[in-house]
Amino acid sequence: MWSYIVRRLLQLVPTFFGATLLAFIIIQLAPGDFVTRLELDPTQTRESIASLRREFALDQPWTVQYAKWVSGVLQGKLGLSLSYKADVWKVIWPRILNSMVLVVLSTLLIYLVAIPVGVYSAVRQYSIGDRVLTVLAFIGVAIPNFFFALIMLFVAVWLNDTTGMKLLPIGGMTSEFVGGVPYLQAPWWQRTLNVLWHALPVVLVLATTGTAGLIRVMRGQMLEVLNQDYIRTARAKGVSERVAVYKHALRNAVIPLVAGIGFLLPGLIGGAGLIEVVMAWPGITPMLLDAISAVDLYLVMGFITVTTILLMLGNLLSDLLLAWVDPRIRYN
Amino acid sequence: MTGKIELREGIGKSESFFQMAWRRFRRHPLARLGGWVLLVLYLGALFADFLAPYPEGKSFRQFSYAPPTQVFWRDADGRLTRPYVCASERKRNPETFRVEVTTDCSQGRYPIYFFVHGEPYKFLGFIPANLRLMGGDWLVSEQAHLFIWGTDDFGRDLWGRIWYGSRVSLTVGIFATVLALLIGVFLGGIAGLYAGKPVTLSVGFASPEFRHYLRRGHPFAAWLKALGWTLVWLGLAGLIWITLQGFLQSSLGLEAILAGAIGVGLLGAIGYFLVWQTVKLDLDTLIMRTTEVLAAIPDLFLLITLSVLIPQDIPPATRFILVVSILSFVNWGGLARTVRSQVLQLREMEYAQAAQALGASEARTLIRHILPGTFTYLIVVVTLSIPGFILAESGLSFLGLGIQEPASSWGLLLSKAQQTGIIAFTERPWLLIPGLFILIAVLAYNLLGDGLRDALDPRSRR
Amino acid sequence: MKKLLVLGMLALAGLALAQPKVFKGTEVGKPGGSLRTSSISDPRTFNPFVARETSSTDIISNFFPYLTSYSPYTLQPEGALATSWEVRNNGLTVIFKLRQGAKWSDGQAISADDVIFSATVHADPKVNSNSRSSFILDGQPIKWSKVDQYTVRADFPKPYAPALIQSWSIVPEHIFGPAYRQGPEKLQALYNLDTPPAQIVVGGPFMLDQYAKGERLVLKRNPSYWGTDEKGNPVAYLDRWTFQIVANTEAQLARFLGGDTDLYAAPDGDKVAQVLERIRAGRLAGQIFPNADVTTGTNFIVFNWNNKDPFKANLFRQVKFRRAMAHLMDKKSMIEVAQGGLGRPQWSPISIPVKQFFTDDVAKYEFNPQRAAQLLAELGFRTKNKDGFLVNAQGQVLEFNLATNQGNTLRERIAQIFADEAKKAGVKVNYRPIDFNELVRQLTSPSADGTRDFDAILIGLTGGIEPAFSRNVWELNGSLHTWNQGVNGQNPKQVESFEVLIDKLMKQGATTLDPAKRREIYVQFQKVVAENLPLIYTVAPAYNPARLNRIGGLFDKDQVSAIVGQYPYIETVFAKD
Repeated sequence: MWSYIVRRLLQLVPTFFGATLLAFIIIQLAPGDFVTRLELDPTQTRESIASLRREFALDQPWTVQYAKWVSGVLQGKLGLSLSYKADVWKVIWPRILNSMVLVVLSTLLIYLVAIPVGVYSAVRQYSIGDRVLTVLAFIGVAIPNFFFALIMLFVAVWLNDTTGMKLLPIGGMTSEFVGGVPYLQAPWWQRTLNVLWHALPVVLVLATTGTAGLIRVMRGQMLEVLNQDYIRTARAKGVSERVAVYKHALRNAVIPLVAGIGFLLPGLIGGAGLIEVVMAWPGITPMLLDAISAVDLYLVMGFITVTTILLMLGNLLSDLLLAWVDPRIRYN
Repeated sequence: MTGKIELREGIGKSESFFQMAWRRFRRHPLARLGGWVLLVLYLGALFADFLAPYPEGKSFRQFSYAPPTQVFWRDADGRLTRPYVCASERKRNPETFRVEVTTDCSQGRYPIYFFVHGEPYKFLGFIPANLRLMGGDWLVSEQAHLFIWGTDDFGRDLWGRIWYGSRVSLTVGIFATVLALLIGVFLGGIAGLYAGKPVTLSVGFASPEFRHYLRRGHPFAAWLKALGWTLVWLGLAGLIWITLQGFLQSSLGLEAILAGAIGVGLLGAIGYFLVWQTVKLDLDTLIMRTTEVLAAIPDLFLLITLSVLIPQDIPPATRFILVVSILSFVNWGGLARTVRSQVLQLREMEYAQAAQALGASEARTLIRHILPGTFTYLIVVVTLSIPGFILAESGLSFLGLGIQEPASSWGLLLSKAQQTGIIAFTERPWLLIPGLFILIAVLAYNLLGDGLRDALDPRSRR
Repeated sequence: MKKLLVLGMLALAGLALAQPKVFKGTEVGKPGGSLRTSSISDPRTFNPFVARETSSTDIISNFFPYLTSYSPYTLQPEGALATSWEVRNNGLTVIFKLRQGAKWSDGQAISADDVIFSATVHADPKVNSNSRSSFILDGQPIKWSKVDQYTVRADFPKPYAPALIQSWSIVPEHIFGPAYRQGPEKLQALYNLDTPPAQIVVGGPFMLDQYAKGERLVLKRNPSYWGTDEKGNPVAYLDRWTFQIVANTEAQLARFLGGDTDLYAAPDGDKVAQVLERIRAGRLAGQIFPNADVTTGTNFIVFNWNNKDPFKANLFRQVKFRRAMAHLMDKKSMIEVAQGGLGRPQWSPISIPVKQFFTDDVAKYEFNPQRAAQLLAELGFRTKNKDGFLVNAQGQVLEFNLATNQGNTLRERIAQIFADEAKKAGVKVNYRPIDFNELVRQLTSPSADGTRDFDAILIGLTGGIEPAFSRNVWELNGSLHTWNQGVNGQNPKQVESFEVLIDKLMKQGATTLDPAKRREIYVQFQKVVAENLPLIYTVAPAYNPARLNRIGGLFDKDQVSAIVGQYPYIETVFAKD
């Protein structure tokens, strides 16, 4: 097993460089660079524009720029953001944390909802309840999440307007004042509550999409397990339906789902994207969009690096978990 | 011939797989509903020109964000009559700055006729026609307007643009899926077939292998190939050389020494490959590594950055093709992986082995014997991935990176609602209709796909 | 008790020594309270040598003083850190007297050394400060030197009219100096977003209190600031100033409507209507002034005289052609549709709010398709082909591409309206939005033979109070002389006489010190441009400021302007509650 892990980790290295190289090339293919925007500033002279290009090494061939960047990464430095003039890691880390809040909360919510609903749908296959839940789940998948976010925002504005109270937050992650004192001076539990309150509508939107998919998987798994011989045997032996379903079947059906959590995490990081933009959550995507439009090369590369690593580790984790719980899978 | 038929009949007592599947499918009322809804939507897309009273780009600037035109059913005496509209005028109130539309029936009543001659268009892009569902002479001569679902910011009829947009939104999924599938099946198939059978990329000129290599095929083709790989290796060496030079100019100390060592090592390796070593590559490894690389980059990033690359001064049709290509480029990897694993399983099956033993070529084996085995699986995958693409396109258009005006797509139309903000809900709710269409289409596809999956699953016993 | 008394006496002594600047607000306010405004994006840095975008400079300008700036009432130069100045040597030398007793927030005195150091760093090509252009005049350096502890001197290579309103930040030498001596990278690393607020030493009215990335930035009053109100009370009045970072204009509106933001500027008619509605319904205690002014940014169409196609290049050079295009611009419709009924048509290059130079008395080629057709006929386009487009005797169709930057809805709409009207008149305008960076490349990068690959572009430039700052647009070898550009910073190969005249006027305007004469020069400049239309101006968006009633020290309706904003000085803005 350890040799398997080591081998998999080693395999990640070329994938990582391939991915960053590809991303680097794509960014370089786009017209213009970080300095282009400044060319339209009447107070900038040709000479100062050229001088800036030199400072940022944008006048070098892209292979050299990439080699420089890789050399930095190997030394543990993600480089300097062109617009922030600060270490990329320091710029993006708080954003990643903010996005993680959403990811963790929505993952929790997804599992809490999807597993019981999936089990119900499987046990009562083709019942009215199953059909209604199926349709509801599919509506969750079908609604474009940015559209849903917009609706959510409207609901919040409307609710606050009609009640005259601040029931739901309108964008953002924290309030300026919590319990009458500035946010940073408030006790930790009040701050946590405040963040949770802000996250609530965002997480709801985010979870709808994920839940539906997982319900279907859970339902499928459960159906498969219920059809297996050992459940039949158990039933034949006179084990009550409840015990058969909840003790024997559920345990086996749930395992791959839990193991698959590694796949879910990175997917959600990307998936929170447009919702963060619409709901003004200070996460990764709004900053990434800014960085792309400003062609802040190293900031974009920093995001790609971090998300790529997360994605790869998530996949590896899932594979390991799956292999661990399912003895049929061998390490090869 | 007759023998075969009899043979079929002999086992005909039990249903064929597809009959069984069909029977199971019909038990899914929701899936059937999804199918019907899609049929209606696609017919609407096909007859968009007929359904829309105005051409796609036709704008009435003075009617920007006009609400749905009031349609009257009763005449001045209150009797039921053929539905008609009246001339209206849109003004911005100088006091409140709100847009107000006043309808004035004293100027004349304009009855709505059905199946009328309207502005000419080309049905299916080449058949000249001018039949439109609703309208009248007054509509063509612009005495009055008919916006049954209101207008967008440029005063373009939303009802018509939804149908025009459906042509993009409903086909983008199909095209993207098919394209992704073609790439996925092709590369996945190759990967599966060639797994464990490396292909020679280049042979060192001085190695004994090279003489073997020359003898194997036509000498001209062999030399041409040799020239090809030489150029590739030299080009690579040139790139490394330029990079090394640029790098060394701006670095110092250990970094420079290490970089120099790596650069020289790479150059040496290329020289060694050129002169002595045979380089072989397992296509399976290459393709699977590529899919891993693609999977490792976040989709949203790929979608956004690639869409930024699309030149904007190109015709809408080309743009559509490029958007489709990007969507499928981002998504073929997963398909390729599944196809590969299916092929790997099937390759070991007896009938495929038998075909190869009988002397069938590899490609023939792949196309005739192995791929059909993945067929039912692919149907389900297609139906379930189309809605994903529809959503992805709407997201791109929402960011302003997909289809460009004056062409339309549902995502683009919905982005108007976002631009308008909260008052889209309170004062211009018609702007939200495109969102409803996306919802319905994606829902229908999911229901259909779910039904198909249940029906086509060979393990299903019901 | 004794200790306190001593402290108090020391403070009094400090006050007596200092030369405070008196900020004349709209009224005398009361200290304390908070102000909440919104900002479209995060700052990128707190370092004035690194900052390039307004999201950063809007905040930094509260931290670091300028020598001089302009008076919000007269728009004439007014002392800031400098108490007075003396122009000598026919304008070649300016001697500034610094405010004595002014202090950084860490207690160190602000002296001539800080000024000279800041000037040196801004001028250093290795630092690439955005203010570097303030230290070069026509390629020659402007020299700054210290006379004594409270006197500095600037020597100009030639007289320079805007010398007194070039605002560049003055930073504490004792903080930035040591880093600068270790190299520009060390200097640039200072005062980044992760620097603890307490470590950011300021000399302006506010200092950093806290910054929550992507959400808000809070400034607090700098107690050691050198300003007072008319009664001698220390300013700024405000204890706390919050910048809410709200990227989305809808969300900005929602915050203002919810009473969570004090100051707001509505970008279009729809939003004005929503604010008005809520105020009239009595649910928002505030005010809005629709169409109070227009913004300083300009939008114009530029034609490429260096076109690859000699037919087009020649056509675009014809003033009749450009006038015909101006006649096809339905500015009324642009204002109604693109700007929601607010704004004004623009005819000349100087932004309308720049009252000391702007003139309305220029040639106006108003919307008039008949006149356009007549002009085009004079150019040989008399007949229409079967598609309805004008052709000349040689059978050449009157056709060109028009591009603008994708994503800018205002420009996209203006371009579409123009293209529509042109098509009706038989001019085939192929409108396409393109990527901003690609647009800039087409505009500013001529190929080796001097041609550029675009026909017409709709773009805008941010305007400002000082016409001399746009010399790059108007002088023949300017990098933004976009209609007719030379290669490698040379003059264009073929220039029209009016371009030479504009070039001359711009050079005169920059070096003439007498305000009345300057105005004369710029009035003539506007007339020449409006008549020859190298850039065809479109419409200027309205400035619709709104505020909550709880804030005092703001301008009335007739005083607000797009240049100065809603208040004369941030120092004298106060909260009434």
